[in-house]
Amino acid sequence: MAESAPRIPTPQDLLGPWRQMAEQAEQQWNQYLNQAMGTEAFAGMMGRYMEGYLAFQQSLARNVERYMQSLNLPTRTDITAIGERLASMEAQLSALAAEQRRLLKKVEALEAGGGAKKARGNGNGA
Amino acid sequence: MTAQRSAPLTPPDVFSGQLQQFQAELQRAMLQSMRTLEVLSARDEANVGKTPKDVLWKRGTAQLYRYRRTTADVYPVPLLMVHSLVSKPYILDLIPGNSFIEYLVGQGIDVYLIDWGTPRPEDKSLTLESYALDMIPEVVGVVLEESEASEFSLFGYCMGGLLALLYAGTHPEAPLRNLITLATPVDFSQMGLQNFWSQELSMDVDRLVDVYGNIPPELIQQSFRMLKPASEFSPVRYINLWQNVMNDRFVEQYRAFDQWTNDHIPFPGECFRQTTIELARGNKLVKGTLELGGRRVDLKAIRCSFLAVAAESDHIVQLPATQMQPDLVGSDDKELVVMPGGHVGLAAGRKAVQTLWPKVAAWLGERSQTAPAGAARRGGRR
Repeated sequence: MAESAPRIPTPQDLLGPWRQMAEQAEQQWNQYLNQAMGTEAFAGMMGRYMEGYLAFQQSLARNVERYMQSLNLPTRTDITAIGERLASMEAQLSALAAEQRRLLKKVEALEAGGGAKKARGNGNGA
Repeated sequence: MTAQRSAPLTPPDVFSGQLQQFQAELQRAMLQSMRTLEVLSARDEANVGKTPKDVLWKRGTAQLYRYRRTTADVYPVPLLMVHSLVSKPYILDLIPGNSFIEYLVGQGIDVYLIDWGTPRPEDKSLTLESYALDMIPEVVGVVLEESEASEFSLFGYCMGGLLALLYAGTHPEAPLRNLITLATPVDFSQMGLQNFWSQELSMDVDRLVDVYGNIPPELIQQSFRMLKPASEFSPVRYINLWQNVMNDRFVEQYRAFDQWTNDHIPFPGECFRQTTIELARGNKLVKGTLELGGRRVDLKAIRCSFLAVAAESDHIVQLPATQMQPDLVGSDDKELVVMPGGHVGLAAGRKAVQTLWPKVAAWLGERSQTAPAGAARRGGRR
């Protein structure tokens, strides 16, 4: 009788079927929403929304820039320009360092070659 | 005892045992719930990117790492890993014990990684040329010099794979021994909704780049999330966490993954414009008409050993967008491996750890034994 007694379901037991159901629902909703978002109507709406948002962002940026200029403070554009110049200098330095390494290697190879020649020359002379 | 068993049990006897078990289960469920809340509200950073490394090269925000050897013998052909431009590279070195890089280093591969860093506003003018024709070739020089190798292998994940292909397709003379791409898009017409949203109707790319400079990470993250919108509100991932929350290893991994998926970086503006117009809209890579800095990207000129890995259920780079890579390259030794799972799982998922990493390491090992030019000098693993 003890073996056949009904087992009270635990939270872990209840979770399995619920999880399965949630997974299925998630998949179906994803499919449905992907279909809806793959239409020209949605694309057009997205384009218009982005256009409006970008116009707002642009006007905000312009106003902030004018305000900063009126206070005689550097704007984001100024800082970015300095950053760009620094980046360009960094790139040039990096190229110079690479070139220096290459030349150094060449000199070392030449020196090693010259040394070997000299040694061979001495050997022949002796 | 026999006498006890033969005595008929009354309903209160039966249910008191069950009730006790139920109470214990309930208590455990409460503990799990509390721990789940704790994990979800944790603010400290996950223990990511910890494989020991040294910085060899820096330029702007980009850095080249060399991972420290852990084996006595190392293959003579070094591996250079190139990461994507929209995410951070620690997905390849997630947490100790679940890190692709740590695994490769442990297999005797001399691993280097280019970390592009987080682009700053002044990096908005970086283009595909900046990466494929300028920085990658410079880094390749450093790798060859540091490892004293005459050849190297290249690996790219997601858009990093695309950069690797662009480099290889414009540098047929490079001493490239092996090329591996992981979840790399090439046929952009097969990118589903992402391609559809990249068209003129949905996006004025010029306006977007002109206004923002670099594309904000939130926008990129949102576009990925919109591919599976219902999953954002689904309780499934929380159920997963709840069920495994008492397993510290699982929690550590969950937190690292969760951190990475929310850790996008700005996309350099000009590069985004170029990718949208030339690749997403023009699909020029597949058509063979893509030009970078006046050089045509010729994938047929890629003759080295080639391995493309794709994920069956990748919703970001869908299988049709990536699976034709072997047909595009000119290599004789080429292979496509399709793994079960999704985009992120391919880099650090459970299946990747068990099957993909050993596969990649073995494939690479076989092809990194000796460099033909220096075979006599090096003679296999050193």
